[in-house]
Amino acid sequence: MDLVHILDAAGEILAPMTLLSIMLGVFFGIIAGSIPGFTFTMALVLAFPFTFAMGPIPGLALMVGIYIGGLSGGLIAGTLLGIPGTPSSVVTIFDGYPMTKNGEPARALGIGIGASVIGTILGAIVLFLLGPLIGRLTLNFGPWEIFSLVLFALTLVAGLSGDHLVKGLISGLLGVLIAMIGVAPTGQLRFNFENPQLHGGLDAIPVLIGLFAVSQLLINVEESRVDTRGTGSVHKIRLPVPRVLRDLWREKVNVGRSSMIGTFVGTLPAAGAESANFISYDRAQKAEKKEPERYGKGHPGGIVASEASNSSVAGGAFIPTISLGIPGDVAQAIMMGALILHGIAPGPGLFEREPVLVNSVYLSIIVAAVGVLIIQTLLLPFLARVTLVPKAVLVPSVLVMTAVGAFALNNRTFDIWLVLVFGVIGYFLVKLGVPLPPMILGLILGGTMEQSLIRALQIDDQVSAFITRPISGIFLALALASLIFALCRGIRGTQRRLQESSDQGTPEQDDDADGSEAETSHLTDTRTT
Amino acid sequence: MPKTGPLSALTLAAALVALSACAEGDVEVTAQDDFPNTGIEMVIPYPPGGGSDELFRMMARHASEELGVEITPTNVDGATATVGSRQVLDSTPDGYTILASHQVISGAYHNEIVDYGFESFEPIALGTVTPHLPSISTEFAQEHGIEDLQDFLDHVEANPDDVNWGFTTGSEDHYSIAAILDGAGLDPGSLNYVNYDGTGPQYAGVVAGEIQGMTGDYASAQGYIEDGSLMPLGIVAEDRDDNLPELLTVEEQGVDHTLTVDRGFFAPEGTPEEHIEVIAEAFEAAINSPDFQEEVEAAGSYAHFLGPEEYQDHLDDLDEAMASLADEMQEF
Repeated sequence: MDLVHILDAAGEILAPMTLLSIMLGVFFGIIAGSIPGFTFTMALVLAFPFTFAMGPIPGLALMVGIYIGGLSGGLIAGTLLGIPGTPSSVVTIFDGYPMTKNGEPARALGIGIGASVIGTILGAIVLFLLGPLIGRLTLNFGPWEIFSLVLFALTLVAGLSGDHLVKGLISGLLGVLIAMIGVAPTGQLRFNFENPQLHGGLDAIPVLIGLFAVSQLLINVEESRVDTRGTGSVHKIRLPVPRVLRDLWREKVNVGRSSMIGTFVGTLPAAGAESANFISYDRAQKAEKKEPERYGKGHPGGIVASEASNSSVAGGAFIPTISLGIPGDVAQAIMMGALILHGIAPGPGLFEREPVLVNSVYLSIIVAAVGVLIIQTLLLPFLARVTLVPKAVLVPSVLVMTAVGAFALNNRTFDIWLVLVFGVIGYFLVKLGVPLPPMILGLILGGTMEQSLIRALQIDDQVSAFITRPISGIFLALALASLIFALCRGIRGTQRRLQESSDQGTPEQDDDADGSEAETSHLTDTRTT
Repeated sequence: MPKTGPLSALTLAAALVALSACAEGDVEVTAQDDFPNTGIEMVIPYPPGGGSDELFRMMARHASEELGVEITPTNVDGATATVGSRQVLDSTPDGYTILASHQVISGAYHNEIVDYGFESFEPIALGTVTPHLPSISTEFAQEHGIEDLQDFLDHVEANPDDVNWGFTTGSEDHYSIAAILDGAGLDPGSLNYVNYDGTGPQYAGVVAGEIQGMTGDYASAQGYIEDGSLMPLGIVAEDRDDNLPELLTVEEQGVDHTLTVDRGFFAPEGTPEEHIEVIAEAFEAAINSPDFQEEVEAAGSYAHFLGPEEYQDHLDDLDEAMASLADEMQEF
């Protein structure tokens, strides 16, 4: 890595017009990321034609701005409304929304912004230092390894369902089942019920919006009878800077760990942001010694784990794009497309051929992270006011937004129906005490898991390869361990419930069961209070 | 919690139904003669960012300038490009909704993913042709001393099912490799086919050594060819390509297969002929403009305009060729 190239890149990125385009990108990215249904991918597509008129570096810088802004924007709706703006911010709501309900929306947002910015910068540093090396390493992740990794991520469902292991499994497997709808990786149609709209399968985002947003809104409608005012109070919408800094300092290990998980898992095509999120949360919760029972009830660590990992994914996702020319997701593919139109062919040689361009990607990520910090902090007092809006006004407005967002996603009215149907399903599942996050995990990762399984078997029909390939074997072992852990805890939970029902009125608090109880509560209690 | 809760929830649900019903109403066409008086929606049945998406957007941009109204590309992807084609098929046939696609329409039909093919659409114009580059990993080539297409075919004949070949089920690359093997007198099923979602992951598979070969095109393969990880065996086109002047065509190497990826535009059956003519003229001017041709060649494809009638003839030939291999393709 030549210092000259870095300086050249800095010259390009710090030019006023380029800086301005990054900031504009960040702003529109945040807006797109914060509205459920709108995605930064859409914002990237819209920005695409503008990059023709720009040079390759300013054009790419604009797109990086949108990308980074979009990744951080998801936390807004998640924290304030309990509605994930993007699939990768599902985990943010576990602790962000309860903290808002506890009357501290500004603190929750502040922690999220802080973790997000630090995560992005750490991810960019890893990309800068180790990019080509990690790029080569990811090639060791064939379909066997991806399958085992995803399987491991899916077993974390257990951790998300607490005592009610069975309900968690039902939810997770329902998600996997929904992911099977449409054309199979082998070309056959299945579960299409003669309805052509189902051929392409169900898009995860409308289902996500339905399950989380509409069901939440339906519950809000019930609540609106008793409480017509929002949850916040005016003096709480100012950003409590010292408090947030103290929270972040306390969670410094968590920030680092989650950022690394995000960066490394983010490098793997298709497994990306969502698995990283769940894995980080799981790790953070297990590592918390002092008050693990606060997880799911508004623990700063939960917000940190989610936001640091889903933002650091950016650095990771650029690794295969830059070092191998393989885009890991649609957003990366669009950015690669912009390069191709400027006559720059991405691929393994990009580092040697375009050192200035590659360095300006790193720098624009960091500049964009600073942009996120500034813009989100400035927006925060306005955004936090959302919690002051009476539910009777808020609920219909958000509902309209989600419907528009769902339509804009694929330009299909069918997706609006999906939102509605899954809203009703989600509402009843919440009432039945079935946790929703496992379903989303199953839906998002089920397809990847199946595709990897089939691809692995098409390459080599030896099933033993899943165990004998070392990386794959390790993940399978982790998956098994995670299952056994959950089973033991599940059995203990059942025993305790039985005991409680036998000696009524004297529920003995069993110390090591506290953690699991807290977990259950964040998935059910927060939504039914 | 009040008892009336679920009832209000239902009211809300009803509101959402009403909302989605509103969006379903189509804008009716007003006069026949002032077509087009509003924007045209161009459905791209692929996700944004791929090769098809870029070329189609490029054409839409240039044709919009000629047409005077905006041609707005929308990506409706999924199910071997049939979610988008179905949407266009079900739209009002007034010329305000068109499909941007290629032989995948026929591929999906012959693979029985959908029950309609080219015949359900009115062709508007052919826009670009892109030659396929059947390629293998350099490592594999060196290991087996493969230098050209014939060496490769010999290897496949001697070792059936030894080579892992990346493809996307029912897609145009699926047909291309089947046609090459068939043209050489080999069983199209003598490769071990591995399914990938699009060409991007296939390159990753080649670099990682999961698969030994795949069908790419110049725009996307360039980086890998220059870096020495990929070796094109030949080019599927009538003539050699200026970007790779040394590379022989597949035909020059004794296999009769010259079918390029032909990207064009379609309207649903029943669209008024005059409207199709108007759109076709805009595309003709756009595609024949030097500006466009320069842009498209930088992206590794060629501008090639055919009007509605010639395009129909071309599609008939294409469909016949694809139908003849349909059964063999179904088997893998």
